[in-house]
Amino acid sequence: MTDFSKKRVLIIDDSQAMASSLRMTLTNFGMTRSEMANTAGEALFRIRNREFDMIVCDYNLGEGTDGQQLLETLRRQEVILPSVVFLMVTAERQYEKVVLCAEMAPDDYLLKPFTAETMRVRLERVFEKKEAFAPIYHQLAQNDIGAALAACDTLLVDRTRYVIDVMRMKGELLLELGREEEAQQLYEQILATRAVPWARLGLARAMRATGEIGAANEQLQLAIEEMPEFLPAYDLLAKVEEEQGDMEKAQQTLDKAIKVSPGSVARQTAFGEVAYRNGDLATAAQAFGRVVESNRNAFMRSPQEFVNLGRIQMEQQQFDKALQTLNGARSVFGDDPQMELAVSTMESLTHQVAGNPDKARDALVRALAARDQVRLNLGDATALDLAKACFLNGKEDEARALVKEMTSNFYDDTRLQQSVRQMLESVGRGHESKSLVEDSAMEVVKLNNEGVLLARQGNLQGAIDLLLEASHRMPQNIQLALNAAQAMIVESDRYGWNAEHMKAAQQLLAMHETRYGKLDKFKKIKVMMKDVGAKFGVDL
Amino acid sequence: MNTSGMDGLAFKTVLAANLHETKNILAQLMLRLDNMDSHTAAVRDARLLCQQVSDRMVQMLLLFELQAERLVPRYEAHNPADFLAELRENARSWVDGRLRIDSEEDGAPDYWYFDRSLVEMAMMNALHNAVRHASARLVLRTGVRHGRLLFEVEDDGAGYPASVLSAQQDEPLPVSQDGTGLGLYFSALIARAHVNKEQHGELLLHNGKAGGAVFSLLLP
Repeated sequence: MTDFSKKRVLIIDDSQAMASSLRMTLTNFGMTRSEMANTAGEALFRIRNREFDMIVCDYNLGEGTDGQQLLETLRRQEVILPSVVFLMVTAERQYEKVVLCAEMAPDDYLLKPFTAETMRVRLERVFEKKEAFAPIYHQLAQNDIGAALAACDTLLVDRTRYVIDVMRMKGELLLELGREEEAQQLYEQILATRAVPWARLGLARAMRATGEIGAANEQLQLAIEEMPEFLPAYDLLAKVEEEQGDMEKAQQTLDKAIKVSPGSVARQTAFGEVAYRNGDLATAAQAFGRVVESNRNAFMRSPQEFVNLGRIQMEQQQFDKALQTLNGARSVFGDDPQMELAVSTMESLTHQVAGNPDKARDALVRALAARDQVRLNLGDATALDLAKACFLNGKEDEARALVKEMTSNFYDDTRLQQSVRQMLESVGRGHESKSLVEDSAMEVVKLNNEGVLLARQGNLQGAIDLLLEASHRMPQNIQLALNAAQAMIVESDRYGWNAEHMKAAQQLLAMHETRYGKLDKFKKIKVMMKDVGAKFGVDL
Repeated sequence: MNTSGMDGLAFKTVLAANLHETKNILAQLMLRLDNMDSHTAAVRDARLLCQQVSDRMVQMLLLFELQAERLVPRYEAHNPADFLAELRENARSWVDGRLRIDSEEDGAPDYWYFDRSLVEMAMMNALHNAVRHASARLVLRTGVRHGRLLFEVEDDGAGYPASVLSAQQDEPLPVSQDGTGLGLYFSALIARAHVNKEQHGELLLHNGKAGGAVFSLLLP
């Protein structure tokens, strides 16, 4: 039996009376440490400032927010640990459909009206389950996916009652580790007994990762046919169609998804982006406009929303409207350099097109000042816009440096390279595209190849020196970082433990984990590092 | 209020908002009654009455839903023994020791796909009936019977009347003054709505060896 008296609980309900009733009920179960919040914003503030063991949340929160959005924000942005219980309470039977069709489910949900006894029994179960899953969560917190997978297998044997939930988690972990074939087997095993939407989606993800893009497409179509409300299937299908080169289809798929459920900001944004790339400015303006209009929850907002809409309005020659949209970001975000950089850059471009070169220059000065504050965290889209603004305002050196940084850091990203080329064409610098894009990419390729060659010739030390030096010069380049790390790990494996190099390898991986942790190569090198560490009895 | 000026959509919206609020109020009432620190017969009766109001409201909503579309269960994997335990604990909290309530779960699978809220609706209704008619004991059962999941309630009362036992499943059972028949009708609907690979669910009503009513829900 769970000791309820130690649990810290947050109750979120827009009705004060319902929140009090829930609180009283929990108090009767011995849960005396509870707090209440009446809005999503207030809840988020409390959750950021205090630790809770359980969140009881009403689905209907008013002000255009619902409990499901809050749950997804909390879990996706890792505001709460996986061990925190999230219990949804709702008066709508429709919520069952939401749970089935969402990527993230609460730990359990209660349909109103329910008895106190039902709530008590459910809470017992949910905490029991969290306890059973504790070893998996522990490994996940250490970022050790392999060990988490092993913990799943243990649980599958010891506690067969959780088999479905463990399988679901195991599938995710296998995909994360790049073990697609095993994931595929697991999902097929589940699908053999019943057409479960998340298993269908998992199977499609595994297929896509192994390059079976056509088969993935088929699975997703099937998933949508079986359950037309299953939105994650539309999202992935649009990506798959885009990869298959069918941008029109991708736009149609997202359009259908939005008709099923217009609420998601992320989906509206994706829709707007696809429409924009398809040259469908009117649709893009609508989608981005809806994002800016409907997204009133400050905790989910991003300055990019305003920049996206501003860009379309500029391209539609609605300059005043664009500037107004962009300025709107300032009232939402206040004094935020990341926002200032993105917004001022777009303002500069807008003034330029509108024929106000002085204002364009002023805005660029603001953007560059903000850039000096954010430095390394420049997003690709922002960096591209900034480079363009620099070219247009006679700051060629600044512009070239930005382009070089982008292309040499991510030389294998062809979509980015293409955007850079288009930008150069648009500012009349098409002729520089060879020296700026290809050559800087070539430089990296050359360094990389030299390093790999040295390693192959047996000169591991030479390879490490070269790759490490290059990696210091281009700190954001993932290829160089991974190859340098790999060379150093191989060195320890072959010639014995080199503490200094292993530490450097670990640092390189840690530096790139957030952005590239999902790359196959990244995962493989990380596993390799752990294995070599284990061989020498060092826990990495 | 003059509703003649309202178009169908506005009427529906008002109705939905009102129902939503009714559920919220009922949820609070139920929790508050449960929270009362009292074991008197009066409070116990009030709790049961409140649950019966809730049963009826849920049935009514289901009727509305059925008018618009057919009943499509939302399948999720649940542990049948846990589900049964939840029902048992609820039933025990209503009877306060007046009846003995046991559960049997031999051979229950780790999980089964079913619509928990629909099956809960059927089972809660069966339990409310059984609690009313039992003289000393109730048994709740789960397990697998001929490849289907079984949820069963057996009481030691006088059993189902002949009129209930002879009725066909696809028509509403004779509805008695206390509304028993309507609940059984819904339970049969819920059972049959559950489908897996061409196999349908089923509600079986019969009287046990000792003569008490046996309510068996079979889910594919």
